[in-house]
Amino acid sequence: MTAQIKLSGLLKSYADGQPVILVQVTEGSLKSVHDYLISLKIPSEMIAMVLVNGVLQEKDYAIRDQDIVQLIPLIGGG
Amino acid sequence: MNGYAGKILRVNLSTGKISKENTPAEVAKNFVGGRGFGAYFLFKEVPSHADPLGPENKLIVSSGPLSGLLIPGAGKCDFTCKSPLTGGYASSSLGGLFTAEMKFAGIDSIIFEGISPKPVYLFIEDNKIELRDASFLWGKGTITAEKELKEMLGEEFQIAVIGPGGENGVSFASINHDYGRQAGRGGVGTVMGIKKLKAITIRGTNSIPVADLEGYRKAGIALYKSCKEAEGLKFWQSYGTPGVTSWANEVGAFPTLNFSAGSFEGAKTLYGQVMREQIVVTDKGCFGCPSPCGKYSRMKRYDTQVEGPEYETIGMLGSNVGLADIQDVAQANYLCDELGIDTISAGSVIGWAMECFGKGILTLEDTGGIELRFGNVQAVFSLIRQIAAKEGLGDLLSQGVKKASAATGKGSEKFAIHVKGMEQSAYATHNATAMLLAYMTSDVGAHHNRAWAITYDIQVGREKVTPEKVAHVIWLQNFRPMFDVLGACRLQWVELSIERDLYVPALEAITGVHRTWEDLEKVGARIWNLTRLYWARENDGFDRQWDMPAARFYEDPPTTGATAGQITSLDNVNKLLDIYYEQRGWESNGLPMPTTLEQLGLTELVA
Repeated sequence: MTAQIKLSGLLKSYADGQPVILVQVTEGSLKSVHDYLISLKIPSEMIAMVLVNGVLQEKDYAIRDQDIVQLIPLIGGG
Repeated sequence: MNGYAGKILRVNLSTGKISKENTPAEVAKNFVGGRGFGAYFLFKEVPSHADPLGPENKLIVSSGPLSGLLIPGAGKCDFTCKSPLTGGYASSSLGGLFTAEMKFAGIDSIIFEGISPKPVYLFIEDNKIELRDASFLWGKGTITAEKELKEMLGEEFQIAVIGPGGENGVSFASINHDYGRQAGRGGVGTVMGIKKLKAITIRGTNSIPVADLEGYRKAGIALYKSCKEAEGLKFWQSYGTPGVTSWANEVGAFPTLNFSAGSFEGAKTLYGQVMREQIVVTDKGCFGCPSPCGKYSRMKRYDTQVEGPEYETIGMLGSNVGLADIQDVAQANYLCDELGIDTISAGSVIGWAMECFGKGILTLEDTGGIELRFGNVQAVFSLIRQIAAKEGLGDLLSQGVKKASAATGKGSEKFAIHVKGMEQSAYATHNATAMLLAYMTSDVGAHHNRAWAITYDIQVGREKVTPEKVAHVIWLQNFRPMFDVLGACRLQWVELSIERDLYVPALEAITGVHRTWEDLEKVGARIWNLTRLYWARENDGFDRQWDMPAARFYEDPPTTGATAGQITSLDNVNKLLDIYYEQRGWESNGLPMPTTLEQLGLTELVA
């Protein structure tokens, strides 16, 4: 079972420039968005928003099979 | 002149005289439009030390060279006057459809002078321009009055209108448009009210001259294409500015209980996703917008609807006053809109009053029996009504938090959250030095739209005080407000991250004048320095003390939330200012050096 984590803008630099990371999901021990941020070494504060299947979610959302998780970085312009 | 309607409309409300003059080419060259026109006419025409509430003050309404053209969000309108809230420069930006209609009616700026002997509204239908009696609208709310005017004149008229707040002289009254857009800050609606100008109604049917039609078409398409292909488009369209609420709370930037902290216990029920699910009915955009971020909401509990709330309102009338229910916040937003007062300043003065009540500085006798505790929703609604009517405690609060705290004393000045008399908008800055500096030095007082530097703090280290950080704030201050000069929305650049260079060929094709962003940033610096001189001219003894933030941000670290125990030291506050003045080319007292004025071509104007 897998899910996709999509990285845009400056977040791609945390995955060697890759825009999408495939992650394994284990039923019974689901990990949160925050858990994946730690393993990917992306500072949580750099993520302004998390969209899961197009819906805004919090970082404690447990990623499930087939989820498409889009991480929106801090707004570049300011 | 290409890109311009070509005329300045001058309306003397004391005499009823209405006249037109050519838009001065030299002013268009040096100040471009919008906020630049406002700053120029204010400095040049309003006499030194004019009473903000007197006939000498002027209300200047300006479009920019992009306004009304097919450029993303080209519906930004600037309102400038001497601020009754701060005693300095006021400039407030309004979205919607108003400024496009101004251009179609052949007008770049409208300058209102004097005071009308009776309530009037300005009627414009191309060349038919007249002041009409507005007695039948006086006392009515903004939404009610706009609806009546639309029914009377026709849907195609665009309308800017004030409510009871402006009529009664509340220092932070707003000007409203399209039922939910506001020029909210600095009391521009107060000046409109003092002038007894209830509304401006405009319909125009003219075209706008463009230098290179084919170049304009190509550059416009490139801008729209970039917006439509932006990765963040779907997100911003779905959630708008409330999309940042959860992030602000996580990083300790969410104003909480009168800015005593930056994370709010009840924040989750104010997040953008909750708002979208519970109250949002539809999206709403401004003129030419490809990414409508406005949200139209219905509050079933109150049987009302409102455009909003935006992030700023959620912060100031939500967490800052202890409200955690999005319907309650939206209802407070609705009351402020209908009554015509700024939601940011209203949330700040109410938060301050609640803290005063908690500390025993204000008592039940002062509040007329209201238990003014954080989280008391009925107290918030009551105070909004009292402020607009200037009744009871509302009379004190209607003066703004600087004057209210000075009159109250007992140490309440320490937690009056403002700079230069303008209430700070919705970013807590206990440990965010770039954002703190942005508020300290903003040219209207503590407002975020000149330099939204909080994300930069997070990226480079929020506690750092470095020349690079200060330089970034100055760059934002010179560049970002240029959107308000050009008459277009900055959010496509901010939120969708489209390349700012895409605007350069569009501006050139429209005006026929080649300007790089470097050129435009110099215009931004020129306006910034002119408005700085305006503050100094109007306020005897103006110096660096005016740039100091609320003491809370260097004396009073939060005890809860993401920034618990964190604070910027007073030494670092002063260091920020020292570096800022040096980089700006200002003296250590915060005033521009003659050489700086010379470089910016301001010497003659300010002599």
